[in-house]
Amino acid sequence: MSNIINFLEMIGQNANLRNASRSDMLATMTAMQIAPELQEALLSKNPQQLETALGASNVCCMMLPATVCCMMLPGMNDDTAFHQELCA
Amino acid sequence: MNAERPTGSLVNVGLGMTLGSHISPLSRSHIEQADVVFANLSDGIVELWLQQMNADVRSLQPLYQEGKSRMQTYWQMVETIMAEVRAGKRVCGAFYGHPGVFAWAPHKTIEMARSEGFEAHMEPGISAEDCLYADLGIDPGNFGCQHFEASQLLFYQRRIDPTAYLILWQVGLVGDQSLTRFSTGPAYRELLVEVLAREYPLTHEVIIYRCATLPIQQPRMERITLGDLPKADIGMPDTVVVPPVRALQPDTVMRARLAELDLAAANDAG
Ligand SMILES: C[S@@+](CC[C@H](N)C(=O)[O-])C[C@H]1O[C@@H](n2cnc3c(N)ncnc32)[C@H](O)[C@@H]1O
Repeated sequence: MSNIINFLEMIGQNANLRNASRSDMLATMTAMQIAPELQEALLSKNPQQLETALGASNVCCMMLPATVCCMMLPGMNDDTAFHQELCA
Repeated sequence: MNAERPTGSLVNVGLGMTLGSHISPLSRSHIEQADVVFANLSDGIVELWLQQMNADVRSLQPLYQEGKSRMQTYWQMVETIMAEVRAGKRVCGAFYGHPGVFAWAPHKTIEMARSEGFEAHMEPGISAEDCLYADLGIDPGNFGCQHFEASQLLFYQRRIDPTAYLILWQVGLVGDQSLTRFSTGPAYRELLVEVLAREYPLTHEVIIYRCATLPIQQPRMERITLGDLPKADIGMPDTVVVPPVRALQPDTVMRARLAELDLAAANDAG
């Protein structure tokens, strides 16, 4: 698992790999000894497939993996009142 | 008498949007040196990446539950983080993007930690906004750029400037007054379109934008008409960009007054 995270980090940091061709990606993955099923998931560019293969999950928002968390409310004016109510 | 500062501390950092590409060296160092790291990230793979930087990474994700008020979730995040700060730990909050952009808990925890005498600050990160300017080739200085949490346009009477860019955040859950849902739907976006249609024709082109969170992805940049927004596929990570519809209107009065000033300055100099 850690070599695939290292691989992703390396792509994210490398100007040549960031938009590499399929064949260059394959060569790099083989050199890094990434398992064939993970190679497939990476080449498909499908984060859900990758998460499943890695057993990573993000329960945020109880939706599918790879969704983004909400972190903001539309009107935060009454937040303190809410806290007081919660703590009462 | 010198009141001693309590030992706990807090720093909230941003990992940026794309795994590996955006994190700053300083943010990474804060993560590596923390006693405990709390995480609120965009996906599970990014969380695995974070786990490689510190042995004690705790996800805040399980606090989210459908049907539970997000306000309650956010306060629980604050209390969870503050408990470790109060216990004297060196705490780091790791958030995707920029920790202070459309994110309430990072600001609140810093405010609270400071008010209790702890050292606390924020390190910026690369936000969805930053990626949007790069991917869509928009310079916010050209016409100006206004950012709104989409629901605010429905809950409050806001004034939109149609000569500037309009960026709408959290469109995927627009209009959720209950604060308990994680997506709304076409009927809610219809109302958003109704508000926007006061300024823009339904044929106006808008862009659904989603930047890459993994370096193997490409950004989503889908151009549709405003009228088609309700039936479009819009999820939590999508941001909607509405380009200006009208040209900037010259302010002839101000220009004349500026010319007078220039003239007066020239006369003084002469
Ligand atoms: C709670 S805000 C968090 C923003 C984040 N702190 C940042 O710095 O960009 C969530 C909203 O950010 C925007 N967002 C999140 N992920 C995104 C992505 N991958 N591409 C474009 N916009 C995104 C969407 O508007 C989403 O509803």
